[in-house]
Amino acid sequence: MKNLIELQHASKHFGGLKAVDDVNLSVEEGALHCLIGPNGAGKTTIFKLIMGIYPPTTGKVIFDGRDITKMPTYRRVREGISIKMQIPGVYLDLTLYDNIRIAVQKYVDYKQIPAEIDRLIELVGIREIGNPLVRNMPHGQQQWLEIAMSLASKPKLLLLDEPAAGLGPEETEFTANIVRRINEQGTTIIFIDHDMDFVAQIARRTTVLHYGKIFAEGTFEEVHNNQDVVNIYLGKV
Amino acid sequence: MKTKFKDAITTENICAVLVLVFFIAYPIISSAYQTLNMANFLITVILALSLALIWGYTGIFSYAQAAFYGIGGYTYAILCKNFTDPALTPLFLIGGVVMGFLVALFLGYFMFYGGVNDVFVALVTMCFTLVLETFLAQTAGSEWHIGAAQLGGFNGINAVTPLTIGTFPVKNLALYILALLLVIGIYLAMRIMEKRNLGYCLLSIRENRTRSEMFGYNTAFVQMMIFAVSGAIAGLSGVLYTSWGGYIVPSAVGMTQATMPVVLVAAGGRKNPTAVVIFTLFYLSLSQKLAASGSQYSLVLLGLILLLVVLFVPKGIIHSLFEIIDRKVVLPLKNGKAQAGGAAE
Repeated sequence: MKNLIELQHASKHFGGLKAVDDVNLSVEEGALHCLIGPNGAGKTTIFKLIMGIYPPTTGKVIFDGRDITKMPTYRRVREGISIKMQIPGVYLDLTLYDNIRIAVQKYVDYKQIPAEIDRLIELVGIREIGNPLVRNMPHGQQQWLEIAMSLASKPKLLLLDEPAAGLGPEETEFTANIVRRINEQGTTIIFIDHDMDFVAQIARRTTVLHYGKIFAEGTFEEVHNNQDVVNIYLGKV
Repeated sequence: MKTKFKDAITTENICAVLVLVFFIAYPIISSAYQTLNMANFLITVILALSLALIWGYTGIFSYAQAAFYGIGGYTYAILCKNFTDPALTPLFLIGGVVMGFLVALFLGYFMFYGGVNDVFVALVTMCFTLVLETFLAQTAGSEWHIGAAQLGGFNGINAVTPLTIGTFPVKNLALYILALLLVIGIYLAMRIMEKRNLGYCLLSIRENRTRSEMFGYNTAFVQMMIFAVSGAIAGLSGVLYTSWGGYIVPSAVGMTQATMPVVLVAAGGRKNPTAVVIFTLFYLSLSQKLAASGSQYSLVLLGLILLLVVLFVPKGIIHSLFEIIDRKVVLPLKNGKAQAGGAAE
C-alpha cells in the first residue's frame, strides 16, 4: 500500500513552544490510524498542519504523492482531505438539512443535492433525528452530523478529532460503527481520541505523541502494553 | 405545486406583494412632487439593499456603502461634465457602477486576502469613508479638476445632466419607474439567490467562516466578490441620486450618510430584504416629516432607533414583526385549514 499522507520533519513552533517537533508520520491508503497522547502532545496541531490551518514552521506535508505544504485549506479539501473538528464545527443556527446542504453543494450537480443529502444521512445513520435546528441537537448528534458533513466532499483522507468525546457508551458504540463503515468503504481515517476502549475497538495502528514528538508507534496492543506509554499517561515521563 | 404555494404564504411574502402594489399605485394616487420624492426613497432602498447583501447575507459589516455611493455619483458627474452629449449618460451610469465595483474589489482584496474580518472590516471601511469625505471636501481650488469637471470642495459638482435615454430624459415619473424596476430586480435577485448555491455559500460564510473554508469554499474570494457587487449596487444608487438631484456633494460620503444604511438594515432586519425595504420607506417618510420642522430631530431619531434595536430587537423591528405574525396568525390559519381539509377528506 502506498502512503496517502506523510509529514516529513514537520514542526510547528508557537514562540518558544514546540507544539509539533520534527515529526515524521506516514499513513497508508485505507488505514484506520489513531493518534493518542496526553493533552498538549500536539495531536490537534498535526491535524491543523494537514488541513493547512497552520503553516508548518519547518518540514513538508505530502498528500497522495504531492507536496501540499503551501496549498490553502479550501484546495486541500477539494483535493480530498476532510476534517471533523474537536468542538463540532456545525452551523448552530441552521437546520440539519441546511448544514449538510452547505457541505454537499460544491461536490454534486444542483439537481443531485437532495439525493446526496439523503445518501449521507443514510450512510451515517441519522435519519430518525429529522430536521431540527442544530443548536437544539444533543452533542452526540452534532458529532454525527459533522461526520456526515465532512464526508460530503468524498474525501480520500478523513481526520476525526475526538469523535467519541462526551458520548455515552451506546453513542460511542454507534460512532465506532460509523467510523468502521466509512473506512470499509475505502476512506483512509486518522482519528484522535482519549477513550481507550473506543481506540481499542477500531484502531488498526496507533501513534503516541508526547511533547510534540512521536513517542511510540505500533498496533494498539503493542502501544497499550508499552510501559513507557503507560507512564506518560500517568505523568511519570 | 400546491404545497409550494402554501409554503410561500408567509407574512414576509404577503407584505412584499402589498408593498409592490403600493409602489405601482403610488404615482397614480400621488402628486408629481410626491412621486419624485418617492423616487429618491427608492434610490435609498437600493443603497440599503446593497448593505443587506453583505451584512445580512454574508456577515460583512461595512461602513463603506456611502463611499461607493459617492464614488458612483462623482464618477457619473465627472463623466457628464467632460462629455456633454446627454445620449452618453447611460454609459456614464454603467461607468459609475463599474467604478463602485472596482474600488470595492480593490479594498475587498486587501481586506479579505489580508485576513481582515469582523469588527476590523467596520473600522477599515469607516476610515476609508472618512478619508474620502475629507479629501473631497478640500477640493475647492481650481487645481482640483478632472478634465472639465471641477470637484468643487464642499459645494461638490452641480448642474449634472440627468440620465437620458436617446433624447428622452429619465426624470420625474420615468426616474421613479426606473428606480422601482431596479429595486424589484435587486430584491428578486437576492430572494432567489437565498435558495441557490450562492445563497448557501454566503450563509455558510456568515455563520462560520473558518469552517466553511474546511468544506472547500474559497471564502476570501467569495467575500471579495460579494463586497465588490455590493459596491456596484451602492454605486448605482449614487448615480441615480446624482441624476435625480443634478448634484453630488462630499456630505453624500459623510458619516451621517455612512451610518444611515447601517441603521436602516439593522432596524429593519439585516437578514431580510423585505424588512429592509419596508423599514427604509417608513424611516425616510418619518425623518422627512421631522426634518421639515427645521431641527436635527431626524438624526436624533436615527441614533435612538439604533440604540433601541440593539437593546431590544437585535433581529430588527420588521423582521421580528414578521416572525410574530407568522407564529400567531399565519401558521395557525394554515394549520387550521390543513386540519379542516384533512377532516373533509
